[in-house]
Amino acid sequence: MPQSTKQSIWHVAWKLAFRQIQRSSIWMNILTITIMVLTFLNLVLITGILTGLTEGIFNDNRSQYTGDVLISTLTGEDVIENAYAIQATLESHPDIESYAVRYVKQSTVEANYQTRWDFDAQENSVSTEVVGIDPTAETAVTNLADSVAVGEYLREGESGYILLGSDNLAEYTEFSDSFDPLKNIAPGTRVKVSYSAGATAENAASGPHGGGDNGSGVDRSGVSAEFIVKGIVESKVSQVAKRAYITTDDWNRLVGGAVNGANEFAILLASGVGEQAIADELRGYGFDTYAKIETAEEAIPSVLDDLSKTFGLLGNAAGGVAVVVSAITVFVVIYINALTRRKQIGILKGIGIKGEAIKRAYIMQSLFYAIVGSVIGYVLIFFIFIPHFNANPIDFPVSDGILAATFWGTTLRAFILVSVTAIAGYIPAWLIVRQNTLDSILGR
Amino acid sequence: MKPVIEIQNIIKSFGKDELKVDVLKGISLTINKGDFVALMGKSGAGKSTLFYQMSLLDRQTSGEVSIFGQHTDVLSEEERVSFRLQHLGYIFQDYALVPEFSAEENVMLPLMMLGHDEPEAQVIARKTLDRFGLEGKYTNRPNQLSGGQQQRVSIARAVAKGPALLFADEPTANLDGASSDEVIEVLRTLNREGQTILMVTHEEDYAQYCNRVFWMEDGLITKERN
Repeated sequence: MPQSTKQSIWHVAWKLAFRQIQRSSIWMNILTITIMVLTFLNLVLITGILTGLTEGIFNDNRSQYTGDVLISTLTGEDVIENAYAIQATLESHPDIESYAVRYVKQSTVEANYQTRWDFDAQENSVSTEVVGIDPTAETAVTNLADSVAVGEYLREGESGYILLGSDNLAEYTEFSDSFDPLKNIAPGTRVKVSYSAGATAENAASGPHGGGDNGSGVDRSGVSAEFIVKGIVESKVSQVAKRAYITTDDWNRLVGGAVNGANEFAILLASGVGEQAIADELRGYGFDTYAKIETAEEAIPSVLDDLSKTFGLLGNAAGGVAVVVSAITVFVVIYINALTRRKQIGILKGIGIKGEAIKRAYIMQSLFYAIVGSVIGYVLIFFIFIPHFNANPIDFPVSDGILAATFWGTTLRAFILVSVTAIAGYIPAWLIVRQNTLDSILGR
Repeated sequence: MKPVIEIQNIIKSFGKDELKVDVLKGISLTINKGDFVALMGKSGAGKSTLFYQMSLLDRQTSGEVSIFGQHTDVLSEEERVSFRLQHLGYIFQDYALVPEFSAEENVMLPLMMLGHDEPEAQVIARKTLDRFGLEGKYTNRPNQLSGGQQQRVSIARAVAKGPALLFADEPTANLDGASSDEVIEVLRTLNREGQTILMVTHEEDYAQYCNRVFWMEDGLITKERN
């Protein structure tokens, strides 16, 4: 059956491309495909790891600190007013799986108060946020119990114990040069928590255990209390690692006023519930008059958001470089291939094979290398690298880095690679094919 | 006799200004249907250059080349490629087969370009190869064939599409005596069947089989034997 010219061109191009790939050196094919695989991985992995790093930060922030929605104290306020009403709403909301109430106070934690007889000697203390938590509710939202690296987690109803975040401790923090953390702390160490008197402190003085030492470890005259370190909380979320945690009961003894003076609500939503919808709903109740209501994404500290954007730009820049490198690689491979076949190309044109068919044959070869390279890259990324990094995250100081690569994001990159490769394959073929037929045949 | 090629006052120059060299200095000739023409001459006489102008592989500096009455100067590069495909067949000195292709695929390629589908092209290719004694060699690649066999594949590729005019550029130059004789015999057979052939050759012995022989010297045809 006779074919149209267009069909003939495609048919001949396919025949030429197929045979050239099939009959060329297996090592040349393997080398070219390996280059394409590495380029594809470069394109996806660099961006994916940088994105995974920030995604890790975001995920950790959500899973260990904010929950899906975070309600926090308005700027300039000490506590969330009307926390009762908010708590009642959260308690009865069908889409809220659990929530944790936190009571936060800037305090001083001192370790050597029992042995420091000389007041000129350096105090082993640190200024930190002490947070009153319901251990069960907190761990239901943020898995705080899992973050206890040394010692044990708090138990509901127990008193006199404290968890210290690792950023406060010299043995754990990497930032000990910039401030003076606590030294020689381990589970069992006694520490004194105290805070400067203020409105809440006054509440404490008039609270249930106020009015002097009652034998339960609370020094009401100095607004301080003694605790035994029960565990060390280690987390890459600095908001978690820089705090100290006591039970709500102890908070009430220390500070008082917990009942209507919460500072944070971390909310975990039922699966499939949109966090923006819930945040909007809570704002609709007018709670934003008393508190800042943010989704997990909105609650990301701006520095992390900037970091994420920076990494995104770096990833795109690295990806761009990878694409250019791949384009040049394919250009060189195809150019050398076409150049070594220059005489043959001339003869093909001489016997009447259209230049378009020859050019398309080279584009098909380029596409073959790019597509095979991308497919192998896909397999490596989705069946080897992503499962590997999920099981063994990269231990970055700020987060557990995973490989963030979505199917469609990866497909887009594959499409870019294949397109650029096709162009990179076309140009050298065009350069050789456009040469004078006789010059090509005679090699001049 | 019906003219197949007519060339008028062909001049081909290389270089410019004072470095300009005229390799063809105004040649005119006519080749008729059914001719078996030999172009002969010493190296540098201009026979290959004339061959390239007549076979549309190159463009003359001035003068006119008409094939089947078509003024070829007006054809674009792409049109010349199509013209070569449809009307002209080529046999090169070094066979010029595509090394990745088998013997039959080499023959099939121009047929497919002409619009034949693959099975159809294969049937024609095999018949043509059979005709030149290459039965059983269909799937052999060029490096699995002797020089004589490769040149016969090259001839099969040139004639399978039924060109009106066959150009042979020193087709025996790379062959031993026996293979050369075989190739010349094939060309003679084709000519006896009516194929018009223009052949460049150094071999007086083979030129004797041609009905017309042109001798060239210093860019001009100095002698013609009919």
